[in-house]
Amino acid sequence: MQTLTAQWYNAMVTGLGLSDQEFQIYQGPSSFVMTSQSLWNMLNAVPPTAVNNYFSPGQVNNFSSDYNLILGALIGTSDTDFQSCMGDYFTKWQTYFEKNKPSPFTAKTVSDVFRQWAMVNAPGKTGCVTGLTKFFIDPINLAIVKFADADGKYAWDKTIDALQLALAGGASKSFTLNSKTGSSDLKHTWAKASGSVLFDLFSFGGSGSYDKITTKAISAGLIIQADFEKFTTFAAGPLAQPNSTDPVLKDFLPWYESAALAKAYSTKDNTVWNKQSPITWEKAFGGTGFLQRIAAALVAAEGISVTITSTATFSSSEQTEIREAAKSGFWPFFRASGESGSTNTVTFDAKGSFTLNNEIPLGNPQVLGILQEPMSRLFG
Amino acid sequence: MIRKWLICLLVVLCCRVGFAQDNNLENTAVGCWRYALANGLGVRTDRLMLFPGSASAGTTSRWLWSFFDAMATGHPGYYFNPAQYNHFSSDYGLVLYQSMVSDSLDARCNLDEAIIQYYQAGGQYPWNKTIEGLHDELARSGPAEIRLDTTVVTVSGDRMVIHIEARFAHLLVFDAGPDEGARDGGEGEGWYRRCVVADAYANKSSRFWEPTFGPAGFMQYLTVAIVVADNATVRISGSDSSLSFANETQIRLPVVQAVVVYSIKDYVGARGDADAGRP
Repeated sequence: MQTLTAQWYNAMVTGLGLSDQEFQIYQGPSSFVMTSQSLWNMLNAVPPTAVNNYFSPGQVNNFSSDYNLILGALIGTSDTDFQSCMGDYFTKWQTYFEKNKPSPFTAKTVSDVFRQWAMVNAPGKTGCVTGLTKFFIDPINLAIVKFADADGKYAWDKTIDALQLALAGGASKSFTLNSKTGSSDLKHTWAKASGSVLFDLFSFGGSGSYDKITTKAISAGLIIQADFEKFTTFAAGPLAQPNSTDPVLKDFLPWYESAALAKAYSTKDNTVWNKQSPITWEKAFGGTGFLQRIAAALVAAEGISVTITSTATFSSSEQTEIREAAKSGFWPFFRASGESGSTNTVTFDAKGSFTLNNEIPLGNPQVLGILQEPMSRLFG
Repeated sequence: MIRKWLICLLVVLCCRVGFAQDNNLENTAVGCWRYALANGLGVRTDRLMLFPGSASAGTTSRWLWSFFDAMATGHPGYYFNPAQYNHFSSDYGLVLYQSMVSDSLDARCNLDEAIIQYYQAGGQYPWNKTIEGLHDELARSGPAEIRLDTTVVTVSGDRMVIHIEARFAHLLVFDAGPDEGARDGGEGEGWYRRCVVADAYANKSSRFWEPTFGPAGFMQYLTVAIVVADNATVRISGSDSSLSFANETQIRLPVVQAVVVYSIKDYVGARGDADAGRP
């Protein structure tokens, strides 16, 4: 059955125009996205190394916590550039500045005070001013302050409204998978091998006898016709800039400064990482590190119709079990029949071969998967 | 200007760009699609990355800018990774922060003014074009048609037959750059000076150069343009001796089809954003 899972993965990648270096099939109790917070929870979850994943809203390893751990292990750059640049004039400037600190205290006002002083007292040192003003834009300090100010409310820069708008303007996609001719090779994918199927979609949630039925259907061959009336790849990033115009985001402060993470990833030594901290580069980003990849985007659709036909013949008891599975939403059905407008139907022809249909109408966004990005490509 | 492209029989060209080396049917078809689209747009193939799936071009300027603010990755393959976790605007702040402090200020590229400008932006980093600008340019862009029928022989001797047919009512390469103070003809302060990045890139003796711009640096590729399609149909199918596939995409509202990515070296050496990767 893992072969069919692999074929389904490949069919989705090709049919939806996705990259096999990024895509991960998504399954979970809340793949129907209703709120911005549920959307952000999905993006916050750090994906495992597998072509499919069962997402749990209570997942412990999440990006915002990992980011916090890393920030706590960084040291602000101890920059002596200004002092070196000023040379003999440094002490004179310090004495003057102690008594003449500008208000408001900004990069511009500090620059003005220095320039006026330097013109008279150190004309050859006016360029040293950048050694002062750059401290106003120190990315590690900025990152620490922003994260603390957010006070545990970690938003992403797009909301559920944006997802719905994206879906409303989404493309329609359709593809067919014939299990007799579809590729099941996963060696070319980011997760590399068939062993990277975390669980088998086609037996997920089913009883032992249901698995036997599934095996029988797959052995005889299946044709899956998938149609997505609205489909979108929805990328979002941790909130890094204030957004006073969005009705939801205006209540959240930006908490993310990517340059701090870039600095942390690109420099392994103790000029950036605090040697007193238990968190090291290796523990964060190394082979078994806690932050090896992020969820870059959701792959979502609505107006879904998936029709599966089999040429295998099923007894009347088997037919009953398949009908029950359809009601419960066991795979290949996305949801239980009736849940969020979902309709599952099963018909059998005179020979006992089935046609299964799963319909999810417009207005019910379904997350099909995510696009993951390893830190090594994000920052390296 | 109305442009119409008809591209066919690219067998020789396909082999030249090397995707006949790939034994995977779907990957070969995607490679052909990228090649055909790049040629149709007049963009260098190595600079055009397909957008995975289909993304809305956005409904606000902020949404639009998020495509450009995301640092691109230059990994091999045909697809762009749309991750928005490595921000150009933030990296630019780090470049400013890491710039060398010296006795005198360069009149051509005044670092102190650049730092103050960035600081005064208050954490808001707009690009020099808006969503209205995108809609205007898209409405003025012409239709396009791309066709490709090709047979590719793989290194293992297998024959792949690939058919691509794409029709666009509108297809646009939309370039934009960080706001340098002349957004949509306005006279705002801006937050960005290209010369700062160019100078930092040129200063290879800096201890910060390698982790920033080097082969494992965080600032290697930039998104300089997005390719936006409106009202389009794209059909791609392929078969070889054992496998086959067929898929169809219908586009009714503007979506991002691909992005034009520059290496930092090309970016600092480019004449301006307007050439947007065209050869």
